[in-house]
Amino acid sequence: MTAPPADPPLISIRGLTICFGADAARPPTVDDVELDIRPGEFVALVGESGSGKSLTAHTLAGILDPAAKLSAERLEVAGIDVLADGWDQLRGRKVGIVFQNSRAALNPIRSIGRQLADVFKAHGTASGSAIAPAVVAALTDVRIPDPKRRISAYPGELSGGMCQRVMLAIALAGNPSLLVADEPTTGLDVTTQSAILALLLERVRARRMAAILITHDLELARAYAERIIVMHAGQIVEDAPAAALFANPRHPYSALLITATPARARSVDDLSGIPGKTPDLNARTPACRFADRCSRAEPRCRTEFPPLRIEVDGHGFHCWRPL
Amino acid sequence: MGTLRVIRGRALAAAPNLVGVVAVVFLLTHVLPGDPAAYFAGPSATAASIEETRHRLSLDHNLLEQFALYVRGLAHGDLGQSLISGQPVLADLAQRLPASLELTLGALLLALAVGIPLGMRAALRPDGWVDGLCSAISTIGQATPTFFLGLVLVFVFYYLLDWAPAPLGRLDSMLSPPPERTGFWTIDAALAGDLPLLGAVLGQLVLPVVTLGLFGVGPIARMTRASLIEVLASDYVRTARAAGLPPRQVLWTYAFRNAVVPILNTVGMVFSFLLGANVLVEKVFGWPGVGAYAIDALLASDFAPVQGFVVVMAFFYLVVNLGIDVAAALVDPRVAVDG
Amino acid sequence: MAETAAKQSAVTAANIRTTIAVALLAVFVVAAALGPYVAPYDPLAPAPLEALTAPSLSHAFGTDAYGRDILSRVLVATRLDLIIAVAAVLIALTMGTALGAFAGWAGGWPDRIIGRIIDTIMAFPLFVLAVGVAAGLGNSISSVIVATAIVNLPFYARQARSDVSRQRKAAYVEAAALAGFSPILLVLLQILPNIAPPLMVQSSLNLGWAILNAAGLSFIGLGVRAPTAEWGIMVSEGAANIFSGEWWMFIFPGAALMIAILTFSLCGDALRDLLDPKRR
Repeated sequence: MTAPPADPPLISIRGLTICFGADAARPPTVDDVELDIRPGEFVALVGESGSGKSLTAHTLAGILDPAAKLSAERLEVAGIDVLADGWDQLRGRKVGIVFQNSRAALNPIRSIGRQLADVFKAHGTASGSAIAPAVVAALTDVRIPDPKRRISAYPGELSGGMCQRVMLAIALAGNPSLLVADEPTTGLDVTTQSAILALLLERVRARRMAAILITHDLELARAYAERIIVMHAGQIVEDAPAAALFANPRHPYSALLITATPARARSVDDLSGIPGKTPDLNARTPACRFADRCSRAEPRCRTEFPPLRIEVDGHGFHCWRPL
Repeated sequence: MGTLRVIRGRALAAAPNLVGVVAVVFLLTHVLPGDPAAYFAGPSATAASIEETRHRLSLDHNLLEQFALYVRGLAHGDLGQSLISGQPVLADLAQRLPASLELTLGALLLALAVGIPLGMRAALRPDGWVDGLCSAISTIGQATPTFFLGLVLVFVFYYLLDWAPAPLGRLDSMLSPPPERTGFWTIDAALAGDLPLLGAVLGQLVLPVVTLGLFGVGPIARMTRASLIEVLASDYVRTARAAGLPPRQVLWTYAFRNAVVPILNTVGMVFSFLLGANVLVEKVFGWPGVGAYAIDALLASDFAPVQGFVVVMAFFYLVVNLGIDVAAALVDPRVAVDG
Repeated sequence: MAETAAKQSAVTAANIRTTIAVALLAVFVVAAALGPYVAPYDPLAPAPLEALTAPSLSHAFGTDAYGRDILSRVLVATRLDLIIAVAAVLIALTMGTALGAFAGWAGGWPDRIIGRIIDTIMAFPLFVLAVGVAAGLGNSISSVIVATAIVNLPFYARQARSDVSRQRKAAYVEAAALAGFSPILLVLLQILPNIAPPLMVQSSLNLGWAILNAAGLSFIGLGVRAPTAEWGIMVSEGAANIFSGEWWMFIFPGAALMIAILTFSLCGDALRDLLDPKRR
């Protein structure tokens, strides 16, 4: 999707397909996804619920639902060929992930200090007497006040924002090269949201990590990411630098998403919402899954998924009749 | 520090139950239809001995005073006198308690040793054959009377296969028990270094312990499975996996520990059941424990031992529950807080 | 496809279970009702010449130490065991629900006291309590029934208490009171359809426990006395003969016990499947 990179991509995915259930006739939930991410790149993965963005991200983090069936031509993450060697070397060590609802994502009966120490020990990032200071340093890095006292605190004693910071510290504890953030600010109040995202951005930059931000909020994506990938019903439809996407969306779905955002709408009428809903997947699903909701669809859209077209400055999209 | 506070808090919460238990046991024998003095004097009493009993047991006082005296007696360890043995009931019970405990604890250990791994395996492989086995054991276990299972085991393993020794108590009458240190003949035989004797004692224990313990396997396995399945699906286990923690650690430190509290509660329930079923198993296997003692007394119309037995068993159960509550609070600090 | 197949087989299994449960229940009810009339031999009549004979064509379940036909005794015992169980559960149900409903309605001190009573009952190992009650009330069948009832009472009391106390605070109750209707009647009419299903499931399971409890008490010699035919006491009588190999004396009454308890358990499951639409 991007210009031929000088250094090899951190992440390279070709033909990623994820299915659920034993019904062979049912179209896959994630359909033939192709993706490259460079070291240090900050990418946003955007789409409605059911777009497959979380599944893709969870695949990268190595925590795909065991009921899911995955197939791919290529799945390389930070030098590890996942298809050949599996995810064991990947989790926490190359890829870290933070989730929404952080308090539920932390072990309620183990102090946050010990949870952090567990990760340090698992990856050998610190050991023995070096662990305690490493834990304090990690908490300081995520701006938790009074870290020395906090290491014996339990998640139930912390606010939502603090839990989110702890989760970030845990994700970073293995010194990964990629951070996946799965809707990290859902459920937090607006001030905390921006504080957390700013912290995330700062930490990622300081460690020269790549990051993938999963979100349904385009404005958020625009504010923090340099590149935005738009997904619809398990298919990537557009992949462009953030500014270019907003200035000149090529795929009809992206354009609708942008106008559906309150900040971008010029008038209330523009908040049209997007007609229809995310399609159920069955034998009648068209090749381009947006076809049924698209005002520009033509017969070809139903039978053949449009191949990738890349235009100047790396603006890529899949559409037979782009805007 | 926090632990002591939790223990004290739980003990205080359990205190009213203790009062209730004592009150109920008191009422049981003092609202008998008929003359309680006649009951306590025994079936072969004369009018004079009945009166003497009435006075001796303070049955001529009013109910409230009797209750006060009863409680005071309990506090001093006075559980009355057994007509049959002529001994204080407390002494009789103390002498027989280790035999019963050896059974109950052995059964509990068996239930845990079989039930927890079974439940864990079923949780890690839902809908596998282990899962079905768990359900089957549970259903059949709940429908089988304890005494019937004991008899079936005796018939198969003693009469038919001759693998087990005769179900005639704790030890073959030819052998003599180990020198008394704890009252638990397994421990005492081991302490005395007498391995053949230890083998004989264990041999006698096998069938009764299996009979009792088998009933605990079902509930423990089921609760382990359910609790672990729920915990394994939790967000924090997902985080632990994603953070790359070793699978062993994820299973035990992050999953099992969080699943423990409901299992502990089930253990409490199983223990309550075991204390009751103990009585039946002692009957089947001729075991000289407190249950057999109480039943023999009951059938001979000797009521003080029965009363003492009920109080002691209930008290024991309250203490065990207290222990379980404290253990749960230690594992899960949240339990201690909202109590 | 595999999902629906799995669900299908689960439903079929449940249906088989229900059919078996209902069939067995019918067998027991018929046995209880007609047992004494269809028993091939007089369950109480001793026949010393035929003592301790193994199962044969003339005595399908064999005979006991007195020469009594075990099949006849097992058949006739059905009535006694079922009556004990049903009586105990009925008492537990009515008294428990009444106590619980009263506690839930009145709140305050009555609620606390009744709550304490229930907690105290549950603080005993239940079989131990049953022995104590049977001891206190004398060695008879009625004390076995009362003991079993007391031990089963808390489940009903707790259920009724929580249902009633929840409904008591509902707005419609206040409105009814203002309008002059009897709020108690209204609450009962309202909660009845709600608590009836779980109550039925619970009662079915309790019937199984009641049989277990009563059999245990008779096994150790409480309540039922020789020569009455009752499953528990028959197992006890048969126990002594294990050493001489007369297995039929304890196996058949024991099996009857097991099957009866299993039947009520399956019926409870079937009721639960029937009444809980979410599980379909």
